[in-house]
Amino acid sequence: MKRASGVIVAMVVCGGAHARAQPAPPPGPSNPADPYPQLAPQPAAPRTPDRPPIDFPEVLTTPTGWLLPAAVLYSKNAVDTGGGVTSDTRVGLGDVAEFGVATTDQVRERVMPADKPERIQPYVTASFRLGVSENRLFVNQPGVTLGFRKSFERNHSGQKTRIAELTLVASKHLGPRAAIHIGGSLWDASLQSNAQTGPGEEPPPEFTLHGHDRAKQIRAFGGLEARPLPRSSILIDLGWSPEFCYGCADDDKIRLRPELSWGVRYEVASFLHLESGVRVPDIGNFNLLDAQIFGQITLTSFALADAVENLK
Amino acid sequence: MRAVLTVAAVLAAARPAAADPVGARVLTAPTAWLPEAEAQSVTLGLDHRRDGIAIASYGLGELAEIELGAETDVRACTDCTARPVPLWMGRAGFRIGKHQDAWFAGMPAVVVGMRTTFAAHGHAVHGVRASDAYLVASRDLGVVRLHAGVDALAASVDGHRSAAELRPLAGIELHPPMYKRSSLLGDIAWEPELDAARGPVLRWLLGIGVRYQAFSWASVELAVRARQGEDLGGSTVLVRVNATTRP
Repeated sequence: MKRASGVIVAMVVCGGAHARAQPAPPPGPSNPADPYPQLAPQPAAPRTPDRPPIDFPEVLTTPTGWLLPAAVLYSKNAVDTGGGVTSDTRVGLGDVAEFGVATTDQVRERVMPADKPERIQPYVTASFRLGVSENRLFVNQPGVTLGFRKSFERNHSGQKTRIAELTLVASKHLGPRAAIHIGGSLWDASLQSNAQTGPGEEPPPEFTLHGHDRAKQIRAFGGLEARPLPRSSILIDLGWSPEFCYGCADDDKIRLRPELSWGVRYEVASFLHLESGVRVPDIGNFNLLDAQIFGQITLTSFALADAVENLK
Repeated sequence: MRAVLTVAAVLAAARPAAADPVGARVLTAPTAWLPEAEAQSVTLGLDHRRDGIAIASYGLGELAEIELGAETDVRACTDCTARPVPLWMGRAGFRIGKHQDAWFAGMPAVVVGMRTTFAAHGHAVHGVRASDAYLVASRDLGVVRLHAGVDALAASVDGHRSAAELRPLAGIELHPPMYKRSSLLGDIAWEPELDAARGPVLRWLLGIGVRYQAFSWASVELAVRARQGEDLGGSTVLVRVNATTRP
């Protein structure tokens, strides 16, 4: 047995030495002697040439008519002086759609009409948008997206709330240094008390935005972008956000409040943008003290797009 | 009228500025100087009553600047027969504007800014908040740099909220030719004084001092500031250090 082992070891060592002594095969995948051409090392995929800048899916708080390119990852994280911390993560789907999950601090609550509104956060939402990119169908066609955003149910202050928003928005570049965004949204929201009810009792009533006048649900929004410097843009937008008032009359329990934002987006690197500016949560009742200064970091990545391309 | 025409003529005849000076404030009043893109600045200051300022800022693409820090310029009192106490409050600011000569020769630098406080906890007064929005213009005329603007200030304390009130802002910097690195500073600005019983009131804050540009990237300031409603003995002497890094 010992002898057999010795012979085997000697054969393996000799075989290895013989293999090392083989002349190297000529390089290249066309070598017919190569029995496993698919396993041969492939040259690295050439680097994608400089990509055009990404048109962002949001101005500051309102959606644009632009979609993320296919498989591009997008992440925006923001803080503001009102104590708001938000995050928004998205991925582009095949140049025609986009999916995202976000936390927003725009939904606010108050107990009585005279109270100061407080934000409910985190308020988690999921979004799906689809559309057609700019100039795709015909020259001068604006980018158009149809988006749907819906929140998960949120329990806060003894109340159960939800929001949903359907948006249709068109965006158009006005030359190389400006762009305009115009859209409309159909909002819905619901509010129900979490109060315990006894057996046989009716559950607390649910108040919804769609249970009232349709005009309370429909709003117009829009934004402007101007790029006076190659890497810096000035942004202004006007959007809407829901506010719940638990102690108000039934018709006023859910209201949409206008929100104005303005600021600057600065491209630190192709994958990193810094944005800062001022946000007024209820411009209809403007008070300087309610204005918030925000700062946000936006990261974009083609890593997934490159990985998908390499797999092809 | 004659004074306005004189100032306009001086501005029109002013030499085009190569680049704007640095510094977001004279002593208290904001300037219209915006930093270069990605420039980072830090200001640290302390006065003889151990009140101070610590502010960091970042230039956003030669268009804007964001500031974040803490300072004690806002004062509060529960019994305002005694001297109001300074409050350490977080402060954030956002400024956007245009450099000198950007649109026409002789144009002053112009900035629209917004400042607000946050994280004001741990004081005897509650519900403290102070915000202001300002428009300021600055012009470098060589020996003298002028700053003028208007500030809308609002504040709240213990449930008392004041509506925004307009106040002027003004500042001057003198650069005597014989002292290449030194300048004399003077300014006037308004800050809220938070009376817990009666609500916020605005008080002027007058400053005068000297800035020494020790290095191209750092300067030191020594100044005296007096407040409305306080006697001369209540004036504070402060030392401040400014440092700026350029990309």
